[in-house]
Amino acid sequence: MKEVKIALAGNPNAGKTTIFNALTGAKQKVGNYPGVTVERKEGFFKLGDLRVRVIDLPGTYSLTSYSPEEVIARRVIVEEKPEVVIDIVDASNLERNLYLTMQLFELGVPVILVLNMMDDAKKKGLEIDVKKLSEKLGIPVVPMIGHKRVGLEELFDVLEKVLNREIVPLPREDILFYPPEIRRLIRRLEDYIVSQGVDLSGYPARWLALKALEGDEEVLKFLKERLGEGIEKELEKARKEVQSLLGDEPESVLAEARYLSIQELLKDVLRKTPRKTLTDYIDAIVCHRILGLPIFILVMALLFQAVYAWSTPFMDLIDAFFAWLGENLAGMLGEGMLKSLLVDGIIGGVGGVLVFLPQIVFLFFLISLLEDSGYMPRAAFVVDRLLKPLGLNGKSFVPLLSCFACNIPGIMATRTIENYRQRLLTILAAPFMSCSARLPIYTLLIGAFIPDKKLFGIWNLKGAVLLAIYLVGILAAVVTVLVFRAFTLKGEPTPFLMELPPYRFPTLKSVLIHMWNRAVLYVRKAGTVILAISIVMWALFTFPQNPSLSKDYEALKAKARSPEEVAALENQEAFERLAKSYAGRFGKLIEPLIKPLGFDWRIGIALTSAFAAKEVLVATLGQIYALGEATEDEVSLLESIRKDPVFNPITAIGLMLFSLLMVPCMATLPVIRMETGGWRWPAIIVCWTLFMAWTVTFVWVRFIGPLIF
Amino acid sequence: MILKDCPEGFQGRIKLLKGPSVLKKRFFALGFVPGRKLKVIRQAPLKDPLEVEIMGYLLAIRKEEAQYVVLET
Repeated sequence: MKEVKIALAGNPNAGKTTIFNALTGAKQKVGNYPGVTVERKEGFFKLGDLRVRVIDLPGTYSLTSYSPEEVIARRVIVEEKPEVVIDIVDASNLERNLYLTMQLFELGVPVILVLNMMDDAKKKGLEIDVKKLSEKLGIPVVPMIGHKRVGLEELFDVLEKVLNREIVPLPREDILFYPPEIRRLIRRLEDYIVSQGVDLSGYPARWLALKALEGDEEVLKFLKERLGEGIEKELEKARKEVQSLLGDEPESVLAEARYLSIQELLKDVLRKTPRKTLTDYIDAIVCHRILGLPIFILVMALLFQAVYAWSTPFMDLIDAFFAWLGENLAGMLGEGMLKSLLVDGIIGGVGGVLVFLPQIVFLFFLISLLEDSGYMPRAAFVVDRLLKPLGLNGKSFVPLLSCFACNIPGIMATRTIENYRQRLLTILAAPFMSCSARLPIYTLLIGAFIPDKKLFGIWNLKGAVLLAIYLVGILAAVVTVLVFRAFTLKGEPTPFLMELPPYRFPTLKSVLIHMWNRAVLYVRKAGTVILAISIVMWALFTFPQNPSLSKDYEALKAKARSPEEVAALENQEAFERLAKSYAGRFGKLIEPLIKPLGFDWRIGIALTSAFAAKEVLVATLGQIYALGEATEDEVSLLESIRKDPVFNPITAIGLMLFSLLMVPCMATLPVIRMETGGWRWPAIIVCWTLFMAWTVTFVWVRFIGPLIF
Repeated sequence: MILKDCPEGFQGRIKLLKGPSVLKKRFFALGFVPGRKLKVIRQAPLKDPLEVEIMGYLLAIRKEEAQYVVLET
């Protein structure tokens, strides 16, 4: 079966992904382009006796070297030479969408034009003469309504004809309407480039000339490397001529020329009867000067609540399932190494991966719903002003908010932020949004040490401290973003220019596909790493297996006179084993580091266990106080902590601060790797969070705490 | 008149674009070319960004970027 390659191009929001999904079904592959964090999406489908490979190019407004997405798009087109590029255009927004089309024509590639979202165009009162448009362009034009699969058959039909060479979709020469002066200069530059006789790696000389004249950085670098300094002189000459002949710089002239070409093209093709649409009415409410913010807060609150409420029963179910599985396996295998490895290590580990799935699934279900309906950009629009001083923009809000439920889906949600630097800054802020797993730690310590007083007579002190913890987290996030913005991640400040697409009724199918893709991505990419780390953690807490114990527990248990005595002895034994495990030794090792914070080696062990999952800290504390494993019963743990001289209100708050700020749980790290394209940033985050945790806790314990207590 | 200072409901044509080349190219790709009509639909509840209608579609633009768009008075 012969394989051919095609590419899909188009503006963001033009429905490219929906059509890509319709063409390829579930047969998609998502990866990364080497060296950049741009997602590479490929899929396959059969057409007649051909196997068609579709590359879904990143959505772009243009083909400049302004963003990695645009550079990738043109590189793929030139270097991988797809048979044809299917340009997906939002028919309700033709003029602007065709700007990219013009640039595809400049590259000289074969193009099939898809007029998508014809229903939106109709709603807006636009009438398009498709046949005339196709005649004027000289290429096939296929009207479609992607999310209803309307026009799909025709697209397949046209594509088959193109791939069988029955149609050659090259646009007519006269489409691109440049002023004669520009055309002359481009030809002159083109001749110069060709005359040098160097290898141009498949890039058309005329395109290089045009881009160079336009001041395209990548192209300039490319040409300088291959042609030397001579090209710069030629370009200078040309630019000066443009300025003197046409009174403006080449990039403006060329941009206007493209739009002029588009206007000519649409002259007797597009008819507008402007009409107010549902979008205008909804926006009038949702972006309203007074109503806008409350509506936004309401939507966010519902999102948060829904994710929490829906996922909790499923998470409990998963926990229960794995506990049941563990028990049965334990029953079958009996005591011993294998049982411990399988039950505590592997099942515990796999359970630890899967327990996050409900939150990921529900969050992305809701996010997809909000995105597909068109509300997301409005949310970003309303809240942007708050995020601007941090160097972030409105798009960071939902991911960061989600982090308060769980960091993992929150960090995964940052993928919607197209700009890499913005995405990275958001990911750096994410771990400081106190997730729900940290709550049991606060509940325990506040319960033990914060008195039941009222602040200023109205506010419950316990509640106030809890709120303060969350605020410290947010403050830490702000500091982090400002620091990283100033010292690393330097670059062009990113402009916030965001399209507000028309509202649409989301299709269940596309929402579910999106949700499914994320879930699968998480399990595949993060799952293996989390499992590996789980097993390592289990090993740390289980080995060495036979330490020398202080008492002969077996003998004592045999002599015990009541089940309570046996239980107490078993708990003491568990504690000793814990203390003598590698984890325990590690706790003793780091003790000098955490002593200035008022912690001892036992707290060191507890903090180490929190790396597996934050809430495990409480369970480990239970083991440390020899209370056995079931420490959901907080009363006894509470009492034990109160009685322990190491703990006092200052160190208790210190421990809360440290747990808040320290390294996020191990499951977050592979997810961060997934979104940042390497282990470098997870490593930086580990170091930075530890640094923040230690410093803030130190300042609290040594300076601020003693002032208050 | 600079776009940044335009009130809600203002309609006008773009006279020229200022600013760094990178930003200008971005503006061009979004339909901001001299001679085009532009309408300020509204300000965000917190006064920034602005929502404008251009080439028949809606775009959110911060005042920081809007300062580079000069409209005909």
